[in-house]
Amino acid sequence: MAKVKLDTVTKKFREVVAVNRVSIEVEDGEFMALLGPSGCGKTTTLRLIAGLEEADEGSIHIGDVLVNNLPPSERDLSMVFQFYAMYPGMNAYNQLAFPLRMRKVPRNEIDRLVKEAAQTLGITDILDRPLRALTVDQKQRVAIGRAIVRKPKVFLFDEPLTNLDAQLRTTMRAELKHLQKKLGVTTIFVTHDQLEAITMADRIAVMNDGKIVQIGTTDDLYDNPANLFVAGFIGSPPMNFIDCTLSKRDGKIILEAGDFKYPSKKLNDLLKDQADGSKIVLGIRPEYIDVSKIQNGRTIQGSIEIVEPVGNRMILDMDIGGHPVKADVRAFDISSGDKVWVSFDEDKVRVFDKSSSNALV
Amino acid sequence: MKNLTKKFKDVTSVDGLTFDTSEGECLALLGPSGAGKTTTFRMIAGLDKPDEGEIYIGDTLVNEVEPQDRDVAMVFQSYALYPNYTVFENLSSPLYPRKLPRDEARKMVEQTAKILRIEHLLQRLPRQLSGGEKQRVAIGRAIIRKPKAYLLDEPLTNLDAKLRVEMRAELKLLQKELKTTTLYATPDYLEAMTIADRVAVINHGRLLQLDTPNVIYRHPTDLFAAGFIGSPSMNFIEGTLVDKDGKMLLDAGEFQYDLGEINVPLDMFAGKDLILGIRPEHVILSKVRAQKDSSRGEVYAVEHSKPEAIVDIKMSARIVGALSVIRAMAPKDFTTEIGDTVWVSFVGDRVHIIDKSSGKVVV
Repeated sequence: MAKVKLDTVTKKFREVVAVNRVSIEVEDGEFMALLGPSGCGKTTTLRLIAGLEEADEGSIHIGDVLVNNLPPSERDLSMVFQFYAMYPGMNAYNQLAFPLRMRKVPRNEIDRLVKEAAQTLGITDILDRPLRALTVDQKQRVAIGRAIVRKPKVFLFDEPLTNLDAQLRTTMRAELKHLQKKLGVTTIFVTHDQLEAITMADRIAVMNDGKIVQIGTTDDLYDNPANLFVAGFIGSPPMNFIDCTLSKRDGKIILEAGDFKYPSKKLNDLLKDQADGSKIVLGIRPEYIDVSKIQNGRTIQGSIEIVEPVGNRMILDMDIGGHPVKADVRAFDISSGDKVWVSFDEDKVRVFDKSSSNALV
Repeated sequence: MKNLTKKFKDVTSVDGLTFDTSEGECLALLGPSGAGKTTTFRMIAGLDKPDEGEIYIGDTLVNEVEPQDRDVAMVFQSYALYPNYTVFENLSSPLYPRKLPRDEARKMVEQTAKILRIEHLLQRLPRQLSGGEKQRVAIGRAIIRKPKAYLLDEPLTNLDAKLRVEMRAELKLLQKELKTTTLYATPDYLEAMTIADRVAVINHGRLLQLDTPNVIYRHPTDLFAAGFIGSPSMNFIEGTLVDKDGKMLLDAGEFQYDLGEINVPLDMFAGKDLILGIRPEHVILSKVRAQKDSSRGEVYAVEHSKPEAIVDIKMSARIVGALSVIRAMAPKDFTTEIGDTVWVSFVGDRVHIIDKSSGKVVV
């Protein structure tokens, strides 16, 4: 078990800066996700930690040891790519023993470690079976077993769930999370799937264009995104954005976009330093919008374009003053074409600067 | 579709499929890969010949009608655009057989492009388009012919999650505007529910349930349909029906569930294996034993999904699934950690009882 610390790490491939001054501190025993779209530098970052790539600048520490110049085998970490790189004919026992034999661990020690890992994973009964005779979820456990059997200081996962079907992916999410907490091993998990990151990780480092955009817990990223990129990347359906002009009238601030007007007492204070006429973006998540057929204090008018039923909830695609806005609400009696009254949860409204894309509120 | 059957050698891909659509309706065929959705489409389009059964389009039996004369348009998952044709040419090529005057063809392309908001892309080649734009062009190729019916075969599967959410709303709007009968195949229950007027749940080539999205969600009639729709999916607990001092109980080891409130006669299942089904949003969690019928569980994992967290709970019960956990949506402000003790109960009128041997939902 160990801390992992990256300090202003940079990696270039010829002219392309793949990883650009990345600094992350992963606490001992923490589950950290590296999240971003493809090409954002998350896998390169993981490979730098593993020692499969060499950093051009910056330092990487595992525990108290500077590992920049250590080969992968001496870094005491275990990397799992997609859960598929296994040997189909080998039985489960040998699958688990393989990484230990590679390291010339004594035979009785191997036996002890394999049995211990098998017990943790609940696969003791199937150790003598070849991989092809196992169910998909047993195979997954064997794959995880290969990662944990050596008891490394750090687990590195590179999109391990990507090729699994939806059902198995949800099962494995819970299983990995449970196991990681049980073993208490520092874990870094690369994914492009925001749902995977927010459900499993203690903290998430969001990357884009080789840079860290924001590091925080699910709640931090969800309710207080640092900029438009994070706001739009996390959550599904994503946050609604409305391009507005900030206007000041009699000391009151109103966000305007054509027929849409949003006055807010709370924003009066928070946005008082912004100039009249500034271009801003109002952001509101679909589930923080309240929709009703009756006005009852609601100030925004809209009409329903589409109703998307999703079980006990529904997604309403609305037109609000010419802007498309999605709301995620408890199912109620409503159909397309209906006129509705809408209110935004004032505490959850975010405001971004249009030109820099950074959050103002 | 009447009793449609298709076999490939010994494998029955489509097995006695019978359904019909009303004019202008959007019907989703929902099922996992290999369920027989694409084979069904290929038979409707005339690309495969059914071994048994009849296919009608309008009032016409089309079994012996050539594909090009069936007047249906199919859109594939892989888009199937001509790589060396511009968007304009891709859109106009389905019109070539009609030998329309050039001006008229141009007008139709422009109208179609406008509906799909791709007017600005007409001179580009497919490789210069994003996934969503390619998909719009593929749909444009289908709608430009104004066919009697559309067959959309997993049209959104190749798009990323975010674009999929956007496109499904767009497709629904388009379908309502065009008012053309549409069959929509997908393995994604959210897509099926949000786009279609009715959903046909298909597995192993057989139709399991056909109804509106809300009815299928609220009242599944089949174990597979109950488990396939919803995420996280419905929890299932296996047990036996026992009569204990005049009380009907589902006996699942340490876990026992009183079936007294269920208003359907269950006598015929006495001693038989039943499955209790309950959706995660109808599992009630509490830190104290608030109700008499609560069962004790231990938190196995907490998933911080939004807006509500998912809590996975280990219980002494025969729970179906690889992890044997009950999944519950955590109420707001309910915080818990791995290893905590929680008390679990179910919303009574949301409990389903399923006959294990037939897979039929009793309640």
